[in-house]
Formats: sequence, structure tokens, C-alpha cells
Amino acid sequence: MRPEEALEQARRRAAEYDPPTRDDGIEGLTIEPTDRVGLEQLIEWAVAEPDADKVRSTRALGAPITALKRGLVHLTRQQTGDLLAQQARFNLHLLTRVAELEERVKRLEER
Amino acid sequence: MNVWQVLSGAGPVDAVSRQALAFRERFTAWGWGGRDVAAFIDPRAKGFEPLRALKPAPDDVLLIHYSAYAPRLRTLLELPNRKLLLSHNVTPARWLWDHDPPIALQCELGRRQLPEYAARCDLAAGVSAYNAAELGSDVVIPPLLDLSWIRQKGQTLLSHVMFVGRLAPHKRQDEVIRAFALYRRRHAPDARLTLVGEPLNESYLRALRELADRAGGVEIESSLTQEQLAGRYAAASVFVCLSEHEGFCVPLLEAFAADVPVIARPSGGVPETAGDAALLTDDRDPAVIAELIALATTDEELRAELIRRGRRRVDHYAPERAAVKLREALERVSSPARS
Repeated sequence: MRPEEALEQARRRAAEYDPPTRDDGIEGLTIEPTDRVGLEQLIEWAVAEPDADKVRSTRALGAPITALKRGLVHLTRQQTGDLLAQQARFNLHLLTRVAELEERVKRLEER
Repeated sequence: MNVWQVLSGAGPVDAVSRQALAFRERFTAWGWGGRDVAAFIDPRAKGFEPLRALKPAPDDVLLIHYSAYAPRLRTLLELPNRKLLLSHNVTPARWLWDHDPPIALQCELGRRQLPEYAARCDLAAGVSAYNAAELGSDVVIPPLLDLSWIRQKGQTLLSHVMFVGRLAPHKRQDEVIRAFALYRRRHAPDARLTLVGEPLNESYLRALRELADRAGGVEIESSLTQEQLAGRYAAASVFVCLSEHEGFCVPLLEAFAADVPVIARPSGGVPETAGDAALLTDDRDPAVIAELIALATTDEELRAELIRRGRRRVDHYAPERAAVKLREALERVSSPARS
């Protein structure tokens, strides 16, 4: 078979799959690109929740460095918590304003 | 001529760092000087100096490898030196927001910043025509690839599927796994799939591993040596790339060099790199991919023709040809009258 003929052949053979075979997909990781983000998603993102497990060292034998970094995160949690709260307050109020504006624009467009 | 190469980040296995090192070998062979600096250097990367080591003489040329958001490189734009920007492409953030927001942010900013950098350099080029076109340029400097480390296969396991690329959402290893699972169920219960790449992050790797475990027959490997990777290519019977975004896709050429037939999604720079040597499909149905895998592993005439065309693509991207383009671009930049 020539390479130019392979795709059509594959499509023909795929069309012969019986539905149970085709639908027997594997559950788990699904990927969708994020194009237009909805308000609910924005609200979820507005409050940052850092994951301490992501603090780590990439160096060989970096375990002590990872432990040190995580210790520092723990020791500075009061300050970082305050910063995150201030940022979340701003983000959420801004989103509330955006939602109100969206609603107003919608009402005006409906007139 | 002295050429200073500037990278936003230097790592041990990434394509951009490898390119910079290959370029440096060429510069040395041409009797050119200069050094290689990076804003961020992974401790495992060799051959790069910190950005503060950058001290070019007025006639020296800066070669900026652009592959990520790089605010620290902004000061370079103020230098009076002649500059060539080489775009290795930046992944669109839309694939990453859900899986790694900091990286997504870097990509978003990187793509926004790129046109400004390109406009402020004397010449902008891409590693593919696709990349160059994003900058409104037609100057292409293809990767300078030494593929001599790849072994052409001896005895092949006839159902060994492979993909090499960062373990990240836009590379769509999830779709490769699902298509492979269908292929395995319908055609080859003993089939194996090997995915090679560095993970985006731990949680993404975990999710991918869970999916792979459900499919069965899938192995995910990271941080392989060149020798180990050569062994994986030698054992592969078909290479499947369903990536949604590629600036060039060097692994396609590695697969061609290893005489491994390629099935690929024609995204970004893939059609340009693959030419007529791959089975290109934008079908979203995993059953179609599964059937293409079956054809590419069993139809001898098809395999032979794909291998023959693949070798031709490797010749097309011979390092000597890429080196000529590199030299032409740098000489054009260094000589104001010609640019």
C-alpha cells in the first residue's frame, strides 16, 4: 500500500468497529484547551491555594534542600497567608464587578 | 566574528540548550568566538554561564534563543550590539492553564512578548517556516542535528509503539494511550507503548500514569541517556505523535533516522518537518489512529516506503545544510549593509 492510501484504508476499517468496542474508552485524564474561561472558573482561580508538595529541589540529592524549603514555607505561612488573602480579596471583588457589568450589558442589549 | 548566545533557560536535556551547544561547536570550528549565557541555569546543564557573564564588545553579535518568557533578557535589547532572534516557539497557554498555571502564565507572557523582541532585533528567524511566519519573517534556521547516535534497527518487535516529547497536555499522550489501547485490543494483545519525556509536573505525571495503567502495556520513562533513547528507537516499530502544537518536532527526524515509520497530527511545524514521509492525520477518532498503527506495523510495502521517505527527510535536514543557513543569517546580521 502507498502511504497516500493508508488514511482512507484506516478510516474504512475504523468505521467497521462495532459500537461497544469504540465506546469502551479508558476513563481518566481528559484534556480540553482553555479558551473562553467562565465566571465560575475565574472565581475558582481567584483564590490561590498553594500546594506545599510542589515545593521541591531539582538537584541530585536535593532532599535536604526540599525539607529546608518546605520548612521556610511553613515558617512564613503567616505573612504569605496574609498576602494571599489580600490578593484573593481584590480578585473576588473585581470579579463581582465584572459579573455586575456583564449583567448590565446584557440588560442593555435586551432593551 | 564573536557570537554570544543568550537563552532564557538552560537545561540538561531540552532541545534549545542542545541546539545552542551544537551551534557553539560550529562557531568554534569556524574560528568564531563568544560565549553562551542563560538567565536560568539548571544545575545539571553544562556549558552555560550566568547572564552576568555577558560582556560583548561593540562588534559582537547576540544570538537570542527565544523559547519562553524572559523579562531578564529585556535589558539586552538596549545593548548597541547587532542581534539575531531565533524563535523556537512557545506553547500556547490554552493547553496549560488547567494543569500548571505558573507555566501557562509564562507561556502566555512569552507569546505576548515575542513580537516586541522580534521587532527590536536586527533579524528574526524561526527554526521552521511555521515559527518564522509567526514573526512575519521568512528566515529559517533549522535545528543543527547530529543524529549519528541513533541506531538503525536490527530485529524489531513488530508491535512496539513509541512517542518522545515532554509529558504535557498539548503533546496529547492521553490520545496516544487511548488509540494504543484500541489497537492492542483489536490487533496485538502483546503490544507495548513507550512514552519518553520529562514531566510537566508531578500531578500531571501521576494522572498520565493512572491512564497508562488502565490501558496496560504502557511504559513512561524520563531522563533517559542518549544511549538509552537510541535503544528505545531501535526497538520501536511505529512512532505516533498526536501533539497539538509543535514548532519543529525534532523527534520526528529521530524516528526517521531510526527507520521507524511515523504517524502524526499535522499541527504547527509538523507537516513541514515530516514532508511526505509520515502518515499525517487530523482525525480525532482513536479508532482511525489504531488502524493506522496496525497498517504501519504490518503492511510491508507501506513500511518500506515510509522508511525510504524518512531517510530522505533526514538528508534534507543534514547538519551541513542547517549550518549554511545559520552562518548566512549571522553574517547578514553582523554586516549592517547586507541586512
